Amino acid sequence: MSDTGPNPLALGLEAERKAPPAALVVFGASGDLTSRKLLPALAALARRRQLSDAFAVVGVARSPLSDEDFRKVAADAVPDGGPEWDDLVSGFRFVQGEYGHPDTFDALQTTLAEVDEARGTAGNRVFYLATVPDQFSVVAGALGRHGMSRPGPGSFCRIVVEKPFGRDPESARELDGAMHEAFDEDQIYRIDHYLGKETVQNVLALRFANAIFEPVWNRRYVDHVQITVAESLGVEHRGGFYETAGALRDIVQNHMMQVLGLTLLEPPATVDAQGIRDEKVKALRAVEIMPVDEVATSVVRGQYDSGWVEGVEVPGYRHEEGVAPDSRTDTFVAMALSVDNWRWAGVPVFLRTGKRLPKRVTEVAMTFHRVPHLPFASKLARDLEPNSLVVRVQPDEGVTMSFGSKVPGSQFRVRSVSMDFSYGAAFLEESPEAYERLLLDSMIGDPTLFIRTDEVEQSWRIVAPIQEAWAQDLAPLTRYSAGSWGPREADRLIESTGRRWRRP
Amino acid sequence: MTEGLIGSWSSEDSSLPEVLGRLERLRREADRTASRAAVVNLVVVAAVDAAADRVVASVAGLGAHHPGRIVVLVPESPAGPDGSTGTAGAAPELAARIELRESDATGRRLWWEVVLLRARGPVCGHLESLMQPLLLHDLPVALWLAGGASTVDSPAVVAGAHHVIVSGERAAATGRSSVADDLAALAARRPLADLAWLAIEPARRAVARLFDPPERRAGLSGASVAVTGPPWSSRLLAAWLVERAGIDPRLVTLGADPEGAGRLRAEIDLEGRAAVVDAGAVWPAGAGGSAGPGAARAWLGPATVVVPHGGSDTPTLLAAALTHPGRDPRYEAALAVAAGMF
Repeated sequence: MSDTGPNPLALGLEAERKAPPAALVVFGASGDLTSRKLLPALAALARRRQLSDAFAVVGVARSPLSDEDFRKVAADAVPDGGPEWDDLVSGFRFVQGEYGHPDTFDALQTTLAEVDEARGTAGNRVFYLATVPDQFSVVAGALGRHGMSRPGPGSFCRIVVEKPFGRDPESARELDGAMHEAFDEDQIYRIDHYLGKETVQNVLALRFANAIFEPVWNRRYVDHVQITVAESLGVEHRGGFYETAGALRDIVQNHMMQVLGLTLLEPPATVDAQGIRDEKVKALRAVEIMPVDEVATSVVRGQYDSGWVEGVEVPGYRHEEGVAPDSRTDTFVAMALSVDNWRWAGVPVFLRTGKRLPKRVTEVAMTFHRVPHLPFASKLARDLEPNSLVVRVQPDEGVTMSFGSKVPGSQFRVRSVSMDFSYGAAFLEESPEAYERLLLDSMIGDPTLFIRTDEVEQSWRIVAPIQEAWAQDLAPLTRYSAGSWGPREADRLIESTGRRWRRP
Repeated sequence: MTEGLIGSWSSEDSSLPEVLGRLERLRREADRTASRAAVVNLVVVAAVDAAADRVVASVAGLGAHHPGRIVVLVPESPAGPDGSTGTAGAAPELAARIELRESDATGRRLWWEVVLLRARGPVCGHLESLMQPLLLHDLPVALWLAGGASTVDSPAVVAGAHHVIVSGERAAATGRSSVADDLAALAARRPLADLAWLAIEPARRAVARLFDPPERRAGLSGASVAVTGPPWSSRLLAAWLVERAGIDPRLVTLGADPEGAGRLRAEIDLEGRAAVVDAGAVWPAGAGGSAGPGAARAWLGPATVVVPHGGSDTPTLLAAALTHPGRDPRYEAALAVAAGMF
């Protein structure tokens, strides 16, 4: 047996995708995102044996924690992580300090050198920015100044950035400039966890792995598209943050634009990082830019009042903790977009997102044209809706196709029925959480499900006129009751085109 | 055919997120043993807890033919036990029971869900907030107001339904005088199926047959009519006769079933000739009751016409209402007459 190269005894025993040796450096390690998402994702990867034996986590934060304290944070975040997690956590390290202070990065360099020595992480680095957004460029700049943004020979160095990528086109460009001063574009992994969801990726499988869908995925057959991202939750304890974001920045500019891009894109030659991202950019570029003076008629912004959600009486947005009593922040956005390309010309795309809606649901729905002629008595087909194809992203992940069917009986009554595919029923294996997939991809170096700088630019291009109109108060802020599907104006927006919102 | 329970969960102190989580867990387990079938969301609003048990019994077997999610909402009281109206953010007082039921009626094992929620306190005025998250996507929503048309305070509950089912007879039994107006208002908002209307369909058919061929209809508008039976069913039958045959309402009399057994009987006197339609018990005295065949005796033929019954027990009527949803202009016209003339 050779003593160099891959271990022949391990053949077939390794996970299909496994991270190489690396140190994951989490900035904002004592924060909510780390505890709720990153640590559970790491524990799941450890349980699936998709992390290298030479893997380490170094937390960085302002909080005065010791290595032991940080290990306790990790253990508490995943109390039932199993022996693999316990083993992993025992090697966690922590560096306390201000993000802009050189001492912090000196200490980090020392710690990483020790980790390389102790765990064999081979100088490979993944820096994860889980801090508040205004620290992104601070941390990136400091890493650059300390020479930590460039990989050593034979190793890699990447930086993962959480949304939001700026507050507007200008700040997005500034952030991009700051990041690029320290890192090359191929080192930057902009994360939008929606892209890590199995069902979002399934849009690609549905379209490009089946002969029956792609031929009808165009203006000849599709009447309109609806994308809904509904949340039943309010702002919880993030009122202060949400005041600076709103639904347009928090959801539309990133999650919805990504889902939109995947829905509208042309078939790529290959499903890889460049192929997918090139086509997404082309699709987003085809979205017609709304003139500022048309925003009032094509976009509805709303803010929730008090109401009842999931059986609980909830306060209005302006009474939430950390929210100004005269706030004009949008908690609901509905809009109609046009797409100027050969495939989608004339097909309106309706986007709708909001907080405190009746249920949590994300879906992409294609509604097809009605048949040109119904050869049945109209009263016998009054329950017939147009065909639709719905990709349910969450919850109850799956795909539903609805079509007309004869109702059993002597009459020729026709009504809509649905054919349902459910991930839970078809695949007994639990889907990995979005962060598991994306963390693993960042370590492996697969940027397919991360956002490229030109995608960010295109997303802001679409959203910017809306921001501008709202900043000039050219469109009213409408109200809706918590627990409803949004303001009446949103219904009017779609009903003015002869269509209506789906009930997801 | 076998039917049974394949999973259940209950709690006297729950929340909707917990119910959704438990439902999801039970569903995932059930998916591995049988196929899930779903064609409808049936939301039932029952007036009191005792009625809820009767309702659950009525709908339990329905799933084999109209599978889907059956959500039974029981608003027990509009205020909390201490009379409070609650505070924003406070958890509702919610008792929940989930049952996953299965059947092999179609030759393969299917399962469906029954969710019973008993709510107390102010949430009773906002039942839509409990209903909406429980609806299965892309399926029609049938709302059965088992406690009558006035059971639901919240218009949003009705607005969330594609069609509504009521039992007009039960609504009439509450002694409410405005039943016809209540139902007419409801029918104006959503397609309405009245179980009483479905129950008298065989009687209507039998009456209609009496007046074929056309020469038998000569002078029909001057006929006098006496209908006895369950209050709402007899009123509907009389209203239908008035509306369809143009009979002068002043010539119509209504009376109680002398035996009190829910027997519907119509006597039509046309120029001295009497015809009797005896439709049997169109409305069960209790849930789950069955009716025997009734008869229509025609004055121009020697034969006794047997009224094809079989639709007078609640599950069968519900099944009929679910099979043929949508507006029934004949019912709405009869309702208008019933509201305005009796």
